[in-house]
Amino acid sequence: MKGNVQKKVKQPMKKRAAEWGKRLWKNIKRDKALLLIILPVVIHYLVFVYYPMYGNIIAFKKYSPAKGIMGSDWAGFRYFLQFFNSPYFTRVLRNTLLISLYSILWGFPIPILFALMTNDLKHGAYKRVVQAVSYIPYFISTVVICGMLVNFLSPSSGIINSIIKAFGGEPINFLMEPGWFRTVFIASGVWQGFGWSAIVYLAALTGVSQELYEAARVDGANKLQQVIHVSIPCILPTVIVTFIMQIGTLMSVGYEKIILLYNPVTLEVADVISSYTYRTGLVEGNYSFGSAVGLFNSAINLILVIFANKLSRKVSEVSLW
Amino acid sequence: MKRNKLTRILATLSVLCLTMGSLAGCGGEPSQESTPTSKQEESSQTGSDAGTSQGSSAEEPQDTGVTFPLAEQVELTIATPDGNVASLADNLPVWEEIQKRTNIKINWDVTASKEYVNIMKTRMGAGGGKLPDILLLPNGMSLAELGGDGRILPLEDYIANSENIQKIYEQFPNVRALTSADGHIYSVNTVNESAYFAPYTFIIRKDWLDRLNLEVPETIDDWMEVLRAFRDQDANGNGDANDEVPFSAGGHAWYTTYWANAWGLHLFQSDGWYPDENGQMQYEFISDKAKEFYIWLNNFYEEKLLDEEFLILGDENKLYEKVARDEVGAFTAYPSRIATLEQALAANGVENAELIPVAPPQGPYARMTEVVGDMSVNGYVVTKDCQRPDVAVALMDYLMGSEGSDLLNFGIEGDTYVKGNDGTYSFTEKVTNNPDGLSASEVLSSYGCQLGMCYLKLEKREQAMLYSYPEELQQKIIDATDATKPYAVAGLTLPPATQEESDSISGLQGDLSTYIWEMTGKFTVGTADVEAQWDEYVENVKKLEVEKILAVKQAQYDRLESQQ
Repeated sequence: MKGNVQKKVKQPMKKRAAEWGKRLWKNIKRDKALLLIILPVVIHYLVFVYYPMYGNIIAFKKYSPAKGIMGSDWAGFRYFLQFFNSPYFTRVLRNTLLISLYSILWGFPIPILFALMTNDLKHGAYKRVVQAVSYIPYFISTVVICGMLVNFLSPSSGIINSIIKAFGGEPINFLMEPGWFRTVFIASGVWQGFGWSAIVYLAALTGVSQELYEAARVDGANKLQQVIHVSIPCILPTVIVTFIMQIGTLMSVGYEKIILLYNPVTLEVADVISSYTYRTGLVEGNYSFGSAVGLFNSAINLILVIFANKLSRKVSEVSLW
Repeated sequence: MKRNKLTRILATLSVLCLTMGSLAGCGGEPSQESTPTSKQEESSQTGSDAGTSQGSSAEEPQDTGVTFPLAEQVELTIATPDGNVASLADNLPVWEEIQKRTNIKINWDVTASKEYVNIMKTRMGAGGGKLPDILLLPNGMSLAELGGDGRILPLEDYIANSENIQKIYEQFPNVRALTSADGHIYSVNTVNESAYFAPYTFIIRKDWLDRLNLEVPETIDDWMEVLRAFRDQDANGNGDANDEVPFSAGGHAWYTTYWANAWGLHLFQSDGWYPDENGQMQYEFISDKAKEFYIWLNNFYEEKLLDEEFLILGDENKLYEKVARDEVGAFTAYPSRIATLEQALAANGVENAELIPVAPPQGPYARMTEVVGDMSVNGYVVTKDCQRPDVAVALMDYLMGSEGSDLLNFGIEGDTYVKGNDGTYSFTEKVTNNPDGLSASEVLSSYGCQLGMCYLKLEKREQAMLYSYPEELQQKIIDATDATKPYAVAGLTLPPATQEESDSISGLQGDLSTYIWEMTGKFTVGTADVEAQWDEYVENVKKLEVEKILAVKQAQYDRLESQQ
């Protein structure tokens, strides 16, 4: 082995490069179909993800559209400080983290449970119907979802309050009670997303070898034991990878649904970083400020992913890298 | 083993993508051209030497003026909110006629009116690409900033020769100040002759009043009595005494501040920025009168006189739906809305429903109603990418003149209106009694009237419009206008801030308006106690640097005063 390497080093640079090129070419020729498949993705990331990243510079500049990104004056950390010193900083940070944490708390296990349950449906057509019904809400636009929530939760004419009234309860003005905001926001989010999120687990479950289940049955395992000792360990890597990725979105709660559902009374619990940035950054045309907040969010998210990954590698030996 | 490795690689890739994706999410679109074109440089130079009236554009035929129809066709791109009834892009008759008469070919760059402000702001902010020749300045963008960095052109040299626009300046002395920044005129705005005609006001169900033997309310206390009766009794006569909403408001905590007029506050149209009798600008949201008003408003809500859904109704249309369902006793709107609402009520099977506009109530400190000023806040500007600003301004001038006004107010002569021998205008049957069941304003809108560009909103149009309404309604609107006129107070529109001024308060107004919006909601609903938390509220408003903003408003107000 060692001698071989020595020999190679002794070869002239040109020849080595030529050899490397030849090998590369051979590989490309061999895998051309695979490379073709990945090409659109690579282009997408180059054009829409890597190239725009240079625009992040405006977080450190006093961006003026007329002067352009390079031409604008430097502002240093001014916009970061403006965000940290904002009277709303602690509030939006707290709300963002709480909404994210609760979303993970409820939104993470439910698709797994759902996937495990659907997986055991033996009737093919029935299984497909259940799956389709469960993920259709994912395709409803956020605006429509919020319109439905407003109508269903209306204290005077909403279906939920009609039911409450039918049982003799007092109607609840859900959308104007700060205490209800997170529940409404997260429950509707879970309802909309669980079927979609379950798809990845269902795919993982189909990959589990039937022989394992047979072996378990021979050993006398009942349904529950099969789930605990076969299904779950088999999809655990998928579960952990998804979890780490979710941790990476901890600081990002989308603003669309928030601003469609909040009002002055619930602002205290509803205003998150993105909705705050939307108001000060986009609506007021303060693009540098918006970028600074975005960059700050991404930095925290990156740190969280690295941390989660490290932790996971230590405890479970499954990790992203 | 191999599979495991592959999973790892895939996972690593996907996490990379994820983080990159989140990083890139905040990037702005890079601008393709950061170097200004030579044309722009020239024009901004023209702007900076205020002394030289003739800059580089001396070769252009501006001395001789532009006469319509042009000898040679010129193309202009105009960005503007689209009509709600018909799209400008579909060659509406009025605009066909204007293009024919001027020999200008207009390329419409339209956006749904609700989305216009956000979309246009983003487009202006992205920097790259070509801007339309003419555009409606989106609300919140500053003339001084756009003019200062050369994105829009100063227009005073062209306007100097524009007969009709000059006439407007004489008729409405404020307009010049309100469209200027840093010594240049940058925009031409829609001007309203009829601001005091049928203004925004309270509207009440007359048939509910009659059913309960009540008088039309005159004071705030009368209003409370009437609304309590609506709440407690079966005002809509359907046998259920609990399904009436006495007073409803749509969408925003802001709508309820209309009542504050009775406390002598200018919160509704002027956003609380208003000078006191000594000409000192005040922020009325933190005045003592505002405290009294909020205490009243909280009580108004607690007594269930105000719709408990007022913050979640979304927008006015949700409110109107509720009115049409025979659930609402009173609300605020333009009286012209009454015809459509009565039709909707009738369509829902409510017989003899009658809505009437009510003059503003006498409150503890005042009897007044704030009226939108006589000029739209935002006007049409000409951008640096416009090759023929002379033609652009000439078109604006044409539209502000009598020929353009007739077209944009009344439509096509012989088709939508006829001129009487005595010079009066009246709409044809096609407008007043449309075979397709459209309301008069919908018909005119489908022709392209009052759409697309700046124009002079004629009072005689509003009067002609009256004849499209049912006869009783005509009388009601005339009565309401007469009854309101003595109490009408013009909302304050301030001239644009200078670049320096807007820099000094950049970012402050957003935080402040969020706080006011939040606290107005909380004080109303009672989640914040007015008595206990007032001092803290005032303290917080001061912490949000209201003084700094006031200083700028004061400077703006002084400029307005000095130019009058």
